[in-house]
Amino acid sequence: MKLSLEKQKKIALTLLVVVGVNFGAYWFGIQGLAGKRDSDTKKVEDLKSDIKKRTDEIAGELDSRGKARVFQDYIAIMEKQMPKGKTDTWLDNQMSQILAKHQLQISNPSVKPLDEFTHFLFKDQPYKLVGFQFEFVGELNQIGGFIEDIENNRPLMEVHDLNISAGGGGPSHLHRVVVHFSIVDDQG
Amino acid sequence: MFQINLFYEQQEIQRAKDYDPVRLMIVGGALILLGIGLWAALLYFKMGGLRDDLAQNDAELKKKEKEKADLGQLTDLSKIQGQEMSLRKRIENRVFFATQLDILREIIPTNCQIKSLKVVRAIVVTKESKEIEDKKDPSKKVKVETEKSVPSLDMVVVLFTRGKARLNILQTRDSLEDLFHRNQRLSAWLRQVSNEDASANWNDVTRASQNIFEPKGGGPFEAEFTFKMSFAQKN
Repeated sequence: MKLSLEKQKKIALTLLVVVGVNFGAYWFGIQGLAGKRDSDTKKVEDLKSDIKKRTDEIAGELDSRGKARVFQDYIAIMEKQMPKGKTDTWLDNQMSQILAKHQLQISNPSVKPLDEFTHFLFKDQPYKLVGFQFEFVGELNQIGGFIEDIENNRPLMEVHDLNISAGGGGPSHLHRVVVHFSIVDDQG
Repeated sequence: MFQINLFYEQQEIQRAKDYDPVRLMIVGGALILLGIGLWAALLYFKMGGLRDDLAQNDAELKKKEKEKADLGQLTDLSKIQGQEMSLRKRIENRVFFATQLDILREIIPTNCQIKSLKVVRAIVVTKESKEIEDKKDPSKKVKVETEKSVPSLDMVVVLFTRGKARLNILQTRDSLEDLFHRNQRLSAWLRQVSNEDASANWNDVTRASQNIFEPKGGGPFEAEFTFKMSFAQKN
Protein backbone atom coordinates (compact mmCIF):
# COMPACT_ATOMS: atom_id res chain seq x y z
CA MET A 1 0.00 0.00 0.00
CA LYS A 2 1.52 3.22 -1.04
CA LEU A 3 1.06 6.18 1.30
CA SER A 4 0.07 9.48 -0.05
CA LEU A 5 2.42 12.43 0.30
CA GLU A 6 0.03 14.12 2.66
CA LYS A 7 -0.04 11.04 4.84
CA GLN A 8 3.73 10.83 4.85
CA LYS A 9 3.95 14.47 5.98
CA LYS A 10 1.42 13.78 8.69
CA ILE A 11 3.46 10.78 9.93
CA ALA A 12 6.68 12.79 9.97
CA LEU A 13 5.04 15.63 11.83
CA THR A 14 3.48 13.27 14.38
CA LEU A 15 6.81 11.54 14.89
CA LEU A 16 8.48 14.88 15.50
CA VAL A 17 5.80 15.99 17.95
CA VAL A 18 5.80 12.66 19.86
CA VAL A 19 9.58 12.52 20.11
CA GLY A 20 9.71 16.21 21.05
CA VAL A 21 7.07 15.95 23.74
CA ASN A 22 8.62 12.82 25.25
CA PHE A 23 12.10 14.27 25.15
CA GLY A 24 10.79 17.44 26.76
CA ALA A 25 9.04 15.45 29.43
CA TYR A 26 12.15 13.38 30.10
CA TRP A 27 14.44 16.38 30.13
CA PHE A 28 12.39 18.66 32.28
CA GLY A 29 10.79 15.98 34.40
CA ILE A 30 13.32 13.23 35.03
CA GLN A 31 16.54 15.15 34.50
CA GLY A 32 15.19 18.16 36.41
CA LEU A 33 14.20 15.99 39.35
CA ALA A 34 17.46 14.06 39.24
CA GLY A 35 19.37 17.33 39.17
CA LYS A 36 17.34 18.60 42.12
CA ARG A 37 17.95 15.32 43.97
CA ASP A 38 21.70 15.63 43.37
CA SER A 39 21.78 19.26 44.45
CA ASP A 40 19.64 18.49 47.51
CA THR A 41 21.89 15.55 48.41
CA LYS A 42 24.87 17.88 48.18
CA LYS A 43 23.05 20.51 50.24
CA VAL A 44 22.28 17.92 52.92
CA GLU A 45 25.92 16.84 52.93
CA ASP A 46 27.04 20.47 53.17
CA LEU A 47 24.57 21.11 55.95
CA LYS A 48 25.73 18.02 57.80
CA SER A 49 29.33 19.11 57.48
CA ASP A 50 28.38 22.64 58.65
CA ILE A 51 26.49 21.14 61.60
CA LYS A 52 29.49 18.99 62.47
CA LYS A 53 31.73 22.03 62.18
CA ARG A 54 29.47 24.10 64.46
CA THR A 55 29.07 21.18 66.91
CA ASP A 56 32.86 20.80 67.03
CA GLU A 57 33.28 24.55 67.44
CA ILE A 58 30.77 24.60 70.32
CA ALA A 59 32.36 21.53 71.95
CA GLY A 60 35.80 23.07 71.40
CA GLU A 61 34.67 26.35 72.92
CA LEU A 62 33.15 24.61 75.94
CA ASP A 63 36.33 22.58 76.34
CA SER A 64 38.43 25.73 75.99
CA ARG A 65 36.28 27.45 78.61
CA GLY A 66 36.78 24.55 80.98
CA LYS A 67 40.53 24.69 80.48
CA ALA A 68 40.56 28.48 80.54
CA ARG A 69 38.76 28.44 83.90
CA VAL A 70 41.61 26.42 85.41
CA PHE A 71 44.18 28.80 83.94
CA GLN A 72 42.16 31.86 84.95
CA ASP A 73 41.84 30.59 88.52
CA TYR A 74 45.60 30.30 88.68
CA ILE A 75 46.04 33.72 87.07
CA ALA A 76 43.54 35.26 89.52
CA ILE A 77 45.43 33.80 92.50
CA MET A 78 48.67 35.19 91.13
CA GLU A 79 47.20 38.57 90.24
CA LYS A 80 46.01 38.96 93.84
CA GLN A 81 49.66 39.03 94.80
CA MET A 82 50.57 41.75 92.34
CA PRO A 83 50.95 45.36 93.47
CA LYS A 84 47.74 47.25 94.10
CA GLY A 85 47.35 50.98 93.71
CA LYS A 86 50.58 52.90 93.46
CA THR A 87 53.30 50.33 92.86
CA ASP A 88 56.13 52.02 94.79
CA THR A 89 53.96 52.75 97.83
CA TRP A 90 52.60 49.20 97.81
CA LEU A 91 56.09 47.70 97.51
CA ASP A 92 57.51 50.01 100.18
CA ASN A 93 54.72 49.03 102.52
CA GLN A 94 55.00 45.29 101.86
CA MET A 95 58.77 45.22 102.21
CA SER A 96 58.72 47.26 105.40
CA GLN A 97 56.24 44.80 106.90
CA ILE A 98 58.33 41.76 105.98
CA LEU A 99 61.55 43.40 107.16
CA ALA A 100 59.94 44.39 110.44
CA LYS A 101 59.04 40.74 111.01
CA HIS A 102 62.77 39.98 110.88
CA GLN A 103 63.63 43.05 113.00
CA LEU A 104 65.18 44.82 110.07
CA GLN A 105 64.63 48.30 108.80
CA ILE A 106 64.29 49.45 105.22
CA SER A 107 66.30 52.38 103.88
CA ASN A 108 66.63 54.11 100.49
CA PRO A 109 63.70 52.38 98.78
CA SER A 110 63.29 53.09 95.08
CA VAL A 111 61.56 51.63 92.06
CA LYS A 112 64.10 50.55 89.46
CA PRO A 113 62.87 49.52 86.01
CA LEU A 114 63.70 46.13 84.51
CA ASP A 115 62.78 46.69 80.88
CA GLU A 116 65.07 44.09 79.38
CA PHE A 117 63.79 41.27 81.58
CA THR A 118 60.17 42.32 81.11
CA HIS A 119 60.48 41.83 77.39
CA PHE A 120 62.35 38.59 77.89
CA LEU A 121 59.79 37.04 80.24
CA PHE A 122 56.50 38.67 79.31
CA LYS A 123 56.59 39.41 75.62
CA ASP A 124 53.02 40.08 74.40
CA GLN A 125 51.65 39.51 77.90
CA PRO A 126 49.74 41.98 80.08
CA TYR A 127 52.49 41.92 82.68
CA LYS A 128 55.71 43.70 83.32
CA LEU A 129 58.50 43.30 85.79
CA VAL A 130 58.94 46.05 88.31
CA GLY A 131 62.24 46.33 90.08
CA PHE A 132 62.36 47.54 93.65
CA GLN A 133 65.65 48.31 95.31
CA PHE A 134 66.32 49.07 98.94
CA GLU A 135 68.92 48.67 101.63
CA PHE A 136 69.06 47.28 105.11
CA VAL A 137 71.60 46.19 107.66
CA GLY A 138 71.53 42.87 109.43
CA GLU A 139 73.28 39.69 110.43
CA LEU A 140 73.72 36.90 107.89
CA ASN A 141 71.02 34.74 109.47
CA GLN A 142 68.57 37.68 109.47
CA ILE A 143 69.33 38.36 105.82
CA GLY A 144 68.85 34.68 104.99
CA GLY A 145 65.59 34.58 106.96
CA PHE A 146 64.23 37.64 105.22
CA ILE A 147 65.10 36.36 101.74
CA GLU A 148 63.72 32.92 102.59
CA ASP A 149 60.48 34.50 103.79
CA ILE A 150 60.05 36.28 100.47
CA GLU A 151 61.02 33.27 98.38
CA ASN A 152 58.62 30.99 100.23
CA ASN A 153 55.65 33.31 100.50
CA ARG A 154 55.86 35.68 97.54
CA PRO A 155 55.99 33.55 94.41
CA LEU A 156 55.99 36.53 92.08
CA MET A 157 58.99 38.12 93.73
CA GLU A 158 62.56 37.23 92.99
CA VAL A 159 65.92 38.56 94.04
CA HIS A 160 67.21 40.23 90.95
CA ASP A 161 70.53 41.55 92.17
CA LEU A 162 72.05 41.28 95.58
CA ASN A 163 75.01 42.97 97.17
CA ILE A 164 76.01 41.99 100.67
CA SER A 165 79.04 43.60 102.26
CA ALA A 166 80.41 43.02 105.71
CA GLY A 167 81.14 45.80 108.16
CA GLY A 168 80.65 48.93 106.19
CA GLY A 169 81.96 51.00 109.07
CA GLY A 170 79.91 49.19 111.70
CA PRO A 171 80.50 45.93 113.59
CA SER A 172 81.96 43.18 111.42
CA HIS A 173 79.13 40.70 112.06
CA LEU A 174 76.67 43.13 110.51
CA HIS A 175 76.25 43.25 106.76
CA ARG A 176 74.92 46.01 104.60
CA VAL A 177 72.56 44.57 102.02
CA VAL A 178 71.52 46.26 98.83
CA VAL A 179 68.82 44.10 97.36
CA HIS A 180 67.03 44.55 94.10
CA PHE A 181 63.83 42.55 93.94
CA SER A 182 61.68 42.10 90.88
CA ILE A 183 57.94 41.56 91.02
CA VAL A 184 55.38 40.81 88.33
CA ASP A 185 52.95 43.69 87.93
CA ASP A 186 49.75 43.73 85.90
CA GLN A 187 49.44 47.50 85.79
CA GLY A 188 50.36 49.11 82.51
CA MET B 1 -16.83 -23.93 -4.41
CA PHE B 2 -15.48 -20.40 -4.33
CA GLN B 3 -15.92 -18.06 -1.47
CA ILE B 4 -16.10 -14.43 -2.44
CA ASN B 5 -15.36 -11.80 0.18
CA LEU B 6 -17.66 -9.04 -0.67
CA PHE B 7 -16.43 -6.90 2.30
CA TYR B 8 -12.79 -6.99 1.30
CA GLU B 9 -12.56 -3.30 0.52
CA GLN B 10 -14.35 -2.33 3.70
CA GLN B 11 -12.07 -4.62 5.71
CA GLU B 12 -9.06 -3.07 4.01
CA ILE B 13 -10.22 0.40 5.01
CA GLN B 14 -10.82 -0.78 8.60
CA ARG B 15 -7.35 -2.42 8.73
CA ALA B 16 -5.79 0.73 7.38
CA LYS B 17 -7.59 2.67 10.08
CA ASP B 18 -6.53 0.18 12.82
CA TYR B 19 -2.86 0.22 11.82
CA ASP B 20 -2.72 3.89 11.08
CA PRO B 21 0.95 4.82 11.84
CA VAL B 22 -0.05 8.26 13.07
CA ARG B 23 -2.46 6.79 15.57
CA LEU B 24 0.06 4.16 16.61
CA MET B 25 2.72 6.81 17.11
CA ILE B 26 0.38 8.92 19.22
CA VAL B 27 -0.59 5.90 21.37
CA GLY B 28 3.05 4.84 21.70
CA GLY B 29 4.12 8.38 22.52
CA ALA B 30 1.37 8.68 25.12
CA LEU B 31 2.46 5.38 26.71
CA ILE B 32 6.07 6.57 26.85
CA LEU B 33 4.88 9.89 28.32
CA LEU B 34 2.92 7.97 30.93
CA GLY B 35 6.02 5.93 31.72
CA ILE B 36 8.04 9.11 32.10
CA GLY B 37 5.33 10.52 34.33
CA LEU B 38 5.39 7.41 36.53
CA TRP B 39 9.17 7.53 36.71
CA ALA B 40 9.07 11.20 37.66
CA ALA B 41 6.41 10.51 40.32
CA LEU B 42 8.49 7.68 41.76
CA LEU B 43 11.54 9.91 41.78
CA TYR B 44 9.58 12.70 43.44
CA PHE B 45 8.27 10.44 46.19
CA LYS B 46 11.71 8.98 46.72
CA MET B 47 12.98 12.55 47.18
CA GLY B 48 10.52 13.10 50.02
CA GLY B 49 13.01 11.72 52.55
CA LEU B 50 15.68 13.95 51.12
CA ARG B 51 13.44 17.01 51.44
CA ASP B 52 12.74 16.11 55.07
CA ASP B 53 16.48 15.64 55.63
CA LEU B 54 17.16 19.03 54.09
CA ALA B 55 14.60 20.79 56.26
CA GLN B 56 15.73 18.93 59.37
CA ASN B 57 19.41 19.67 58.79
CA ASP B 58 18.65 23.27 57.97
CA ALA B 59 16.78 23.64 61.26
CA GLU B 60 19.56 21.83 63.09
CA LEU B 61 22.19 24.15 61.61
CA LYS B 62 20.17 27.21 62.61
CA LYS B 63 19.88 25.78 66.12
CA LYS B 64 23.62 25.20 66.29
CA GLU B 65 24.35 28.66 64.97
CA LYS B 66 22.10 30.17 67.62
CA GLU B 67 23.77 28.01 70.25
CA LYS B 68 27.16 29.25 69.08
CA ALA B 69 26.00 32.86 68.98
CA ASP B 70 24.62 32.46 72.52
CA LEU B 71 28.08 31.49 73.70
CA GLY B 72 29.17 35.05 73.01
CA GLN B 73 32.79 35.98 72.49
CA LEU B 74 34.99 32.97 71.91
CA THR B 75 37.72 32.14 74.39
CA ASP B 76 41.25 32.87 73.28
CA LEU B 77 42.69 29.84 75.05
CA SER B 78 46.19 30.25 73.67
CA LYS B 79 46.31 33.80 75.04
CA ILE B 80 45.11 32.74 78.50
CA GLN B 81 47.38 29.71 78.44
CA GLY B 82 50.31 31.91 77.42
CA GLN B 83 49.53 34.25 80.29
CA GLU B 84 49.34 31.38 82.78
CA MET B 85 52.46 29.77 81.34
CA SER B 86 54.51 32.96 81.56
CA LEU B 87 53.56 33.36 85.24
CA ARG B 88 54.16 29.69 86.01
CA LYS B 89 57.50 29.74 84.23
CA ARG B 90 58.54 32.82 86.11
CA ILE B 91 57.66 31.14 89.41
CA GLU B 92 59.20 27.78 88.57
CA ASN B 93 62.46 29.20 87.25
CA ARG B 94 63.15 31.46 90.19
CA VAL B 95 66.57 31.22 91.73
CA PHE B 96 66.37 30.75 95.46
CA PHE B 97 69.05 32.80 97.11
CA ALA B 98 68.13 31.88 100.65
CA THR B 99 69.27 28.34 99.83
CA GLN B 100 72.45 29.73 98.34
CA LEU B 101 73.17 31.80 101.44
CA ASP B 102 72.49 28.76 103.57
CA ILE B 103 74.90 26.69 101.48
CA LEU B 104 77.58 29.37 101.85
CA ARG B 105 77.09 29.43 105.59
CA GLU B 106 77.39 25.65 105.63
CA ILE B 107 80.49 25.52 103.42
CA ILE B 108 82.53 28.35 104.76
CA PRO B 109 84.74 27.28 107.63
CA THR B 110 84.75 29.19 110.88
CA ASN B 111 88.11 30.83 110.18
CA CYS B 112 86.64 32.61 107.15
CA GLN B 113 84.14 35.42 106.85
CA ILE B 114 82.03 36.54 103.94
CA LYS B 115 83.30 40.01 103.12
CA SER B 116 80.96 40.51 100.25
CA LEU B 117 78.54 38.65 98.09
CA LYS B 118 77.38 40.01 94.81
CA VAL B 119 74.71 38.57 92.58
CA VAL B 120 74.28 40.14 89.15
CA ARG B 121 71.87 39.11 86.43
CA ALA B 122 72.05 39.69 82.71
CA ILE B 123 70.62 38.34 79.52
CA VAL B 124 73.15 36.75 77.23
CA VAL B 125 72.25 36.82 73.57
CA THR B 126 74.04 34.30 71.42
CA LYS B 127 73.83 34.25 67.66
CA GLU B 128 73.73 30.96 65.84
CA SER B 129 73.98 30.56 62.12
CA LYS B 130 72.94 27.39 60.35
CA GLU B 131 72.32 26.34 56.80
CA ILE B 132 68.86 25.28 55.75
CA GLU B 133 67.33 24.16 52.49
CA ASP B 134 66.19 26.97 50.20
CA LYS B 135 62.42 26.82 49.74
CA LYS B 136 62.59 28.12 46.19
CA ASP B 137 65.44 25.92 45.11
CA PRO B 138 65.87 22.77 47.29
CA SER B 139 69.27 22.06 45.76
CA LYS B 140 70.61 25.28 47.29
CA LYS B 141 71.18 26.08 50.94
CA VAL B 142 70.68 29.39 52.67
CA LYS B 143 72.32 30.70 55.82
CA VAL B 144 69.92 31.64 58.60
CA GLU B 145 70.94 33.51 61.71
CA THR B 146 69.00 32.91 64.90
CA GLU B 147 69.29 34.66 68.22
CA LYS B 148 69.11 32.81 71.47
CA SER B 149 68.55 34.68 74.71
CA VAL B 150 69.41 33.08 78.00
CA PRO B 151 69.40 34.74 81.41
CA SER B 152 72.74 34.48 83.13
CA LEU B 153 73.76 34.83 86.70
CA ASP B 154 77.09 35.90 88.14
CA MET B 155 77.83 35.33 91.79
CA VAL B 156 80.96 36.69 93.29
CA VAL B 157 81.86 35.96 96.89
CA VAL B 158 84.80 37.55 98.62
CA LEU B 159 86.05 35.68 101.67
CA PHE B 160 88.30 37.06 104.36
CA THR B 161 90.54 34.93 106.50
CA ARG B 162 93.39 35.16 108.99
CA GLY B 163 96.24 32.76 109.64
CA LYS B 164 99.39 32.51 111.70
CA ALA B 165 101.50 31.70 108.68
CA ARG B 166 101.22 32.01 104.90
CA LEU B 167 100.91 28.23 104.76
CA ASN B 168 97.75 28.37 106.89
CA ILE B 169 96.27 30.89 104.47
CA LEU B 170 97.11 28.74 101.46
CA GLN B 171 95.70 25.66 103.17
CA THR B 172 92.47 27.53 103.87
CA ARG B 173 92.28 28.65 100.23
CA ASP B 174 92.78 25.11 98.93
CA SER B 175 90.29 23.69 101.35
CA LEU B 176 87.77 26.37 100.28
CA GLU B 177 88.25 25.46 96.63
CA ASP B 178 87.83 21.81 97.44
CA LEU B 179 84.68 22.51 99.45
CA PHE B 180 83.12 24.47 96.61
CA HIS B 181 83.86 21.77 94.07
CA ARG B 182 82.69 18.86 96.12
CA ASN B 183 79.67 20.22 97.93
CA GLN B 184 76.58 18.15 97.09
CA ARG B 185 74.02 20.82 98.09
CA LEU B 186 75.70 23.39 95.88
CA SER B 187 75.70 20.91 93.02
CA ALA B 188 72.00 20.15 93.54
CA TRP B 189 71.16 23.86 93.73
CA LEU B 190 73.02 24.54 90.52
CA ARG B 191 71.28 21.68 88.74
CA GLN B 192 67.95 23.07 89.86
CA VAL B 193 68.50 26.60 88.64
CA SER B 194 70.81 26.14 85.66
CA ASN B 195 70.03 25.73 82.04
CA GLU B 196 70.20 22.03 81.09
CA ASP B 197 73.16 22.43 78.76
CA ALA B 198 74.81 25.13 80.82
CA SER B 199 77.73 23.25 82.18
CA ALA B 200 79.10 19.77 82.35
CA ASN B 201 80.81 20.65 85.59
CA TRP B 202 78.08 21.76 87.96
CA ASN B 203 80.27 23.04 90.73
CA ASP B 204 82.11 25.33 88.36
CA VAL B 205 83.37 27.74 90.99
CA THR B 206 86.52 29.52 89.95
CA ARG B 207 88.95 31.55 92.01
CA ALA B 208 88.97 35.00 90.47
CA SER B 209 91.62 36.60 92.66
CA GLN B 210 93.58 36.34 95.88
CA ASN B 211 95.19 38.99 98.06
CA ILE B 212 97.43 37.91 100.87
CA PHE B 213 98.47 40.74 103.18
CA GLU B 214 101.71 40.57 105.09
CA PRO B 215 101.35 40.80 108.88
CA LYS B 216 101.71 44.22 110.46
CA GLY B 217 103.47 44.52 113.77
CA GLY B 218 103.55 40.80 114.54
CA GLY B 219 99.88 40.31 113.76
CA PRO B 220 98.47 37.43 111.70
CA PHE B 221 98.46 37.04 107.95
CA GLU B 222 95.25 38.23 106.34
CA ALA B 223 93.86 37.29 102.97
CA GLU B 224 90.94 37.88 100.63
CA PHE B 225 89.84 35.29 98.10
CA THR B 226 87.34 36.02 95.39
CA PHE B 227 85.37 33.09 94.06
CA LYS B 228 83.14 33.40 91.06
CA MET B 229 80.29 31.28 89.84
CA SER B 230 78.69 32.10 86.50
CA PHE B 231 75.98 30.08 84.88
CA ALA B 232 73.16 30.21 82.39
CA GLN B 233 69.86 30.13 84.15
CA LYS B 234 66.72 28.22 83.15
CA ASN B 235 64.32 30.32 81.09
